[in-house]
Amino acid sequence: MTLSDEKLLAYADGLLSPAEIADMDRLLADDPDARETIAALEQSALPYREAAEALIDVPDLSHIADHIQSYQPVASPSRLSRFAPLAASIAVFFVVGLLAGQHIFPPSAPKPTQWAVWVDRIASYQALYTRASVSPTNPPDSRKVGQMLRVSKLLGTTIKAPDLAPVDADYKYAKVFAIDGRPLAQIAYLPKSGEPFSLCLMKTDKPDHDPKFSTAHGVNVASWRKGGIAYVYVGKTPRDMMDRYIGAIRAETGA
Amino acid sequence: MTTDEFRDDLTALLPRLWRYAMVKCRNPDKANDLVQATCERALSRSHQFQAGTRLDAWTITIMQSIWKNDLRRDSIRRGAGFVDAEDAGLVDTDESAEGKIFLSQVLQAVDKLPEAQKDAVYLVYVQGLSYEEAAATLDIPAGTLTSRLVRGRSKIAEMINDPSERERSIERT
Repeated sequence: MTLSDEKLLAYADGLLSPAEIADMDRLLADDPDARETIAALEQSALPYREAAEALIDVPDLSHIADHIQSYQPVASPSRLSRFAPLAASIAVFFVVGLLAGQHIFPPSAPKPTQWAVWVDRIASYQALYTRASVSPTNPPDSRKVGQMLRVSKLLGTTIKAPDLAPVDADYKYAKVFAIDGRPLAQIAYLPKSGEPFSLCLMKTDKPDHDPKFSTAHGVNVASWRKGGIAYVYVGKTPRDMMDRYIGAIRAETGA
Repeated sequence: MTTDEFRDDLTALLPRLWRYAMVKCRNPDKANDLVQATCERALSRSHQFQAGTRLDAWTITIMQSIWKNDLRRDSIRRGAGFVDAEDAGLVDTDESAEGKIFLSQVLQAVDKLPEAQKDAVYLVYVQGLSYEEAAATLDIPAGTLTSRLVRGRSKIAEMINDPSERERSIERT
């Protein structure tokens, strides 16, 4: 047998060009040993991946996932993305905004509800966003899956990121924050045109209600509750587009 | 790639890392140790990962290195390397679903291969690495990898065609 294992394998795995296949066919005609190897390779072209995924059970690995998410590496400045400095600034402003939230309302105004304070803080955070705040590149599906797993675990229920591609807005990332010690998830989207917007989620034990619209810090806000989750849409989005995105979000998630 | 992105991508890889760890360790506790050690090392070396390359291949290379240098000898010394796949719970033997019977035979055939061939088959046909990526992961020449794949798959064909050959492979293991 003069044909190399590499050639035989590439032939059996369908990795050769039509011209290379034609060459191989000619060579195989005179090489019974190679034909025998090819026959074995064809017989062993089996669903290996499907077998592993179906039969090797994966246990709850949340203890490892938690460790990964809470790990604090020492970042090398040269490897920070060009968005990192801006993201860091936003994070600082967000923390400051959260801490200062109770001072946003003037003393003479009626004492707002805790929920209204939280919505106001979220709006003050979103007010800092521009198109440059989020990467123009869409994340791979695997990253989206990992981020939504983290969000779902945090909120104690399966959360699916609404697919807003049909209304021309792309998923960018999901992050987790805390507001008064309670977990808050932010799912960020970038529309084809206009400013980015976010869908924020928190657990709630309050009754469901339909979207209520308001404005804070120059940001349009819509908040509603459904099935134990409070949703807040925030963005410098024109109202007609906002209705479109919220309609798509509610249709996608049943919220 | 930001730190958050790296961590999210690594988290998303956990099921695949677990399955490969189980193939290597055949023992859930050992597999857990191997996955944890792999993630720990990946996190501590995340600055070495080159954005735009495959995180799965990079992480599996780390797992391979830890297994080779730290855990393998310990597992074999404890006998884990000689536990039958079914006994170790690696293969689901519930035959209530017909499709599972065939998939179970496929996985058992891979499991009966010598370790070097099993690694090659697993990395290329389960993890989806290219020949070159798998060779780099195992730190062997590409030609050696393809030879292992050809020998491994020829052996799998024998086992699929002749169950008695599978038994002989079990005895040789």
